[in-house]
Amino acid sequence: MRTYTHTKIARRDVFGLVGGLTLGAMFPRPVLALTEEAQRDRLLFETRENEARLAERGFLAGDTRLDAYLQSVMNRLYPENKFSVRAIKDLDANAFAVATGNVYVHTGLLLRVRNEAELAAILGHEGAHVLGDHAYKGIREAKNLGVLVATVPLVGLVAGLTSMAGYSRDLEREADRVGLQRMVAAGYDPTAAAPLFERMAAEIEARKIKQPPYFFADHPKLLERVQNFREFAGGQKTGIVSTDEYHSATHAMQLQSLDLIHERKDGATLICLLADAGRTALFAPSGNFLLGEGYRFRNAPGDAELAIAAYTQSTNERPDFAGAYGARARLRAKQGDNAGALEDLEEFIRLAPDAREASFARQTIDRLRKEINP
Amino acid sequence: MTRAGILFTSLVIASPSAMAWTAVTDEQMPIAAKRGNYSLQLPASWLYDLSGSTVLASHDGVALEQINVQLIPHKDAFKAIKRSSSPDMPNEDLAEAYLANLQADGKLADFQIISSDPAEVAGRAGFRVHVRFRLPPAAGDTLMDCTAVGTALPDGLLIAFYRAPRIHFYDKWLPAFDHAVSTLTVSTPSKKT
Repeated sequence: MRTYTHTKIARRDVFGLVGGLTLGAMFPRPVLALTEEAQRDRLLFETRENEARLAERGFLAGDTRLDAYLQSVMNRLYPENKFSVRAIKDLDANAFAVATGNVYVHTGLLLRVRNEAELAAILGHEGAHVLGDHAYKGIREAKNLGVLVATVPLVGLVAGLTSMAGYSRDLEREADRVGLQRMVAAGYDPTAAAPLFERMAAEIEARKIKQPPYFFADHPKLLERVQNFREFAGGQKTGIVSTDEYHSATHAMQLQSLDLIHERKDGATLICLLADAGRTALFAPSGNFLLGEGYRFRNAPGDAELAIAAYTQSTNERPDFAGAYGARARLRAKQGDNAGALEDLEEFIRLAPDAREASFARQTIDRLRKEINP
Repeated sequence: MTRAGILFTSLVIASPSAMAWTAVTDEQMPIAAKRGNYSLQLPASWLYDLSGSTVLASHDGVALEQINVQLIPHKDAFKAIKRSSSPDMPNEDLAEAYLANLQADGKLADFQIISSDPAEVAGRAGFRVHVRFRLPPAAGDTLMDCTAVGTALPDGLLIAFYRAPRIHFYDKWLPAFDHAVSTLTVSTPSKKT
């Protein structure tokens, strides 16, 4: 089964779930016979229920500083509205707006955003869905109502809150256009939107993802949206970008998300997220360590050398960063550099005697010592 | 109803496949797996089933505690992270991949690694890990502890795990698992694939 993130939320699963809850299956004629007001009431009722489940089941990131920052950007884009924004603890690169006017951004998407202007492009787009009443319009197209009662886990809740099949191309285009207008009105650089989508297109290609996150749509639509952003922006490269502010507000969350990807040994994603110039420095010394781990996990020809170089960079950035010594030792031992591996492991144990990997390190030290001095 | 009856009934409800539960009458008697050349001794008063590709054992029902031993073909060892194992894979790498595979599977909430250490398993270099996780709400939302040991054999990754609800059950039967693991034997040299 192909997945597009380590969260294993595969579109096939989503559609399986949605397919079982189609309009015809769940709400046949009675719903279609409802008045518009009753349909709206039902939409709001179901949406609120599913939003409550998101909170109950611990899917919200619950990072008040991060949520406040997201909210401040949303308020700047839509000062006359009261759209609430919250981060969802999930490594998928997605965002969605719901009928109650609330917007949710996955931490996996925030991890791929580089500055506040890119964040504004996402929130502008989602706010436009709310403003344009797209949730209800989607239902009118008989695409969404059936999924409103979708349940566990997150994928089910998201399916229940959004149009997983995506809004129509017209509604998406409208949301992109309105979002970009909002960006310009709020003083953001409108050319910032396209690079985010271009990077996502590159990641989809590099990781051979067949089912991209629905926020970005499928590959042809994604490339079309990049083109749309360029047209809408009209080359007008002025306005706020705010890289430092974005990084400051999201740094802890990004590092936590990178650690989760590391725990899951997802080397390809670590490389996609960290290999660009300057990215590892933002998370020093962990950035280079995690990039090294990405290469070690991927284990393609030449990756061991790239990993060792990244670990070395990490130890140069901070000589007491134990993890980089331990990881470098493993590759050095595999390459037959027993003396180098032993030196690294001894340093690792000196710096982190109680680390989770310490018992393996001690075992390897014993073995290497015997091999070096039989 | 007898314990065997309760166990049988719960398993029939839980699984459509037919299982054949046998009581351990002699805890000194090695129980040999149908698939894989390994055997182990199980604690007296437990029930075991050999009908699948694993040795599955329980005292009060598999939802309450289970020992599960299996030989997984190398190519299928770490499916969730799309990795395989190999006979010469270092035990540290095996442990790392095993833990990553559990996490990547995505079914275990609140996953925590309590410990990961080298261990001798069936006379070979292996690993022992202890993890904690929560079952999905539909499965009771229970906080579970699991200890697993593993080692790479020529024809697959030999894994034995014990899992039980953290409250009450886990500590109660952990010594039984430890004893069973200490008797784990690869009875004949496996063919190298």
